[in-house]
Amino acid sequence: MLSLTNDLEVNVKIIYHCFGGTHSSITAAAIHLGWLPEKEAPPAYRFMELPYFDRRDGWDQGEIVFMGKDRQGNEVYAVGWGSASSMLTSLIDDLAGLFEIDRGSCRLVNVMKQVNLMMKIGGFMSRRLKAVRVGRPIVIYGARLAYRSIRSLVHKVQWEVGRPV
Amino acid sequence: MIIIYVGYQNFPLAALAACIRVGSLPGDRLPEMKELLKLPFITELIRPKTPASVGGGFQRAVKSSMDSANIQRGLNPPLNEVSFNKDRHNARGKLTYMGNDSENNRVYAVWARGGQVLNGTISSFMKIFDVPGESCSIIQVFGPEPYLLGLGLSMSKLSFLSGLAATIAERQLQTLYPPLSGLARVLPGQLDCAW
Repeated sequence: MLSLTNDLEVNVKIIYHCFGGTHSSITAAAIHLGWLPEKEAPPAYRFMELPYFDRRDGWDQGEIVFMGKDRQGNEVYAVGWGSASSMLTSLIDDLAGLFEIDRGSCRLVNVMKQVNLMMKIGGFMSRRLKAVRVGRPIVIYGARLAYRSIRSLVHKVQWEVGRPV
Repeated sequence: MIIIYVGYQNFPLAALAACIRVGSLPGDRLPEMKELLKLPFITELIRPKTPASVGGGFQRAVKSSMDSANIQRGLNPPLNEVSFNKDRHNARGKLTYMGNDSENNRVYAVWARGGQVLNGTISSFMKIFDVPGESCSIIQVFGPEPYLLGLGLSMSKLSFLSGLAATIAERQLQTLYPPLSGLARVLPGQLDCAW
């Protein structure tokens, strides 16, 4: 009985991944952690208060950053995998096998489907072209437009993770 | 200990370095064309692929992972679908077991253009899952894409061009191979690029 209780209390590492790991995955992680409001898209300054938001570059791709722990004690991470997300998903699977880590303890969530054109254009201008003054307002506008969609995804993840296996 | 060679090219240079380390390729001389063509991941590059040749006969890190769908259950397609649909015929980005070296370290290789993403992912994975640094070393294989070597190997399947193919491949191997042999001799404790 004791072991069953312990099994149910195993926490999951939730890794939100997108292209650059600096806009949509960070927004998703922030919603998951309760840093952004549930009801409506927050004002622009709230996005800029988030760690890593619009601050990571191409060389940071692949680095999984810790964002925080949610109410259930699950660890929430964000990462940018460029266009190689399917390849790196299978690499994570290989690594889990290599280091004998329970695959159920890690949950990868692709946020790319929630990314709209404004986020792509703004993100490209801000991060790639370094036109931050122009790109940043566009990407934040895009993030506000995509907010509901990202929030729905996070709710699904929270429901899935909270559900007993 | 586990040693992972991470290549920054689409050509499997990391796998070649790993092969030198485990003794599948000579470390003290240039390999002959037939020695290279015997390597499964090279064969995979230059011949039409079949599902049976995926991974080229070399074992992926854990074959049982293909049965697992736990990491992305629910929202994303199961892992086996992801890896088999898109990258079915491609060993790039897959952790491939190359053998054990003379000190019985398990040697793996993984490669893809833009290897810093692979390197970052492996390093971060080890950190977040508290894998002890002394149990695994990463050796980064930098360098340009060896187009001439790839061309030479591809031409070698046309018998009437085999002589020219060998010349082209050998030309590039002469510059590539010594640094690869050096990487293959690096001791895990001496790695400056080890995580």
